[in-house]
Amino acid sequence: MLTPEMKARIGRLVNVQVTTIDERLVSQYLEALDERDPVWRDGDAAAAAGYARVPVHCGLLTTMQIEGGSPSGHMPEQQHLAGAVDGGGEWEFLLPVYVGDVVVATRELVGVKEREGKLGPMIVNTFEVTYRNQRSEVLAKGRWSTIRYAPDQR
Amino acid sequence: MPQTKGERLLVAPADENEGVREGQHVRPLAFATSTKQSAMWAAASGDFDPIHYDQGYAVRQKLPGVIVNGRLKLALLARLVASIAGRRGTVRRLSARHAAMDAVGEDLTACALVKRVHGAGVDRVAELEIWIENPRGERSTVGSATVSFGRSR
Repeated sequence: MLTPEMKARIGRLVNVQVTTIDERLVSQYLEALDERDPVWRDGDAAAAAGYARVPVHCGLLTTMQIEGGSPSGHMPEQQHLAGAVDGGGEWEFLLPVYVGDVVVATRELVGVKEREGKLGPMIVNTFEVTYRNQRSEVLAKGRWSTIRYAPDQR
Repeated sequence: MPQTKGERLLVAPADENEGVREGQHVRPLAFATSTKQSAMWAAASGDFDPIHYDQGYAVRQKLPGVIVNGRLKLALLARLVASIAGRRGTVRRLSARHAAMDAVGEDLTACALVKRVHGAGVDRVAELEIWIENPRGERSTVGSATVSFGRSR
């Protein structure tokens, strides 16, 4: 299942995504989670909490759109593996993000391995993502995995 | 302190730092999943994988049915953890591993246990065990988090 083409991508850049964190993006995120704390949307509430501007919830950085969507679109050698589920990961948040910031997410494939599991034979891809703002300051780092499989082989 | 839906979930005295203690179970966050909510999450997250809202597609992918997006479960945990940090604190680290799939339509609960607290004042830090619990009592997503009760900027 693991091919030389898949292995050849290890250590290489998958994609770079540039996103302006605007109010609409933030509002959609907060609505989807039913998060109503005004500190995440209101300048006065943010100021009362000691923020210079409205802060962005750390969870927004972990959404797929900040990384540029599913990595499958950037990895044609795995297109035949139609099934995909999230394997989880770890994120470290270093600096606050504010509404109006531009986030540049750089995603790199750091590992590919073959496994057998509930979904049958699987490919586990591990990515590392670095998130920077418009001043090139590192906002956060993430490392997460996705599981790819061929449904017709299960 | 009132704990209405959407506000901070951890009852804390005026000094937020004093409200978190080792061994403390944080008030959990209940969340109802649904097809509509899956659509909202897809729009908010940019992840339109049909396994989270198209039953027929999910079954063809050899899944039991439409499943809750793993990043949504992570986001629910992030919401809970951020509430523990409080408005003057910050989330430093968040990790989660998905141990089981959850069906869209189930009520999930984000939970946290304060494992360790160290430091003082704005340098006070709490290490948390976090998890998502489903109606069967399973911990379908498990992980840990670190919060700081102060901010560098």
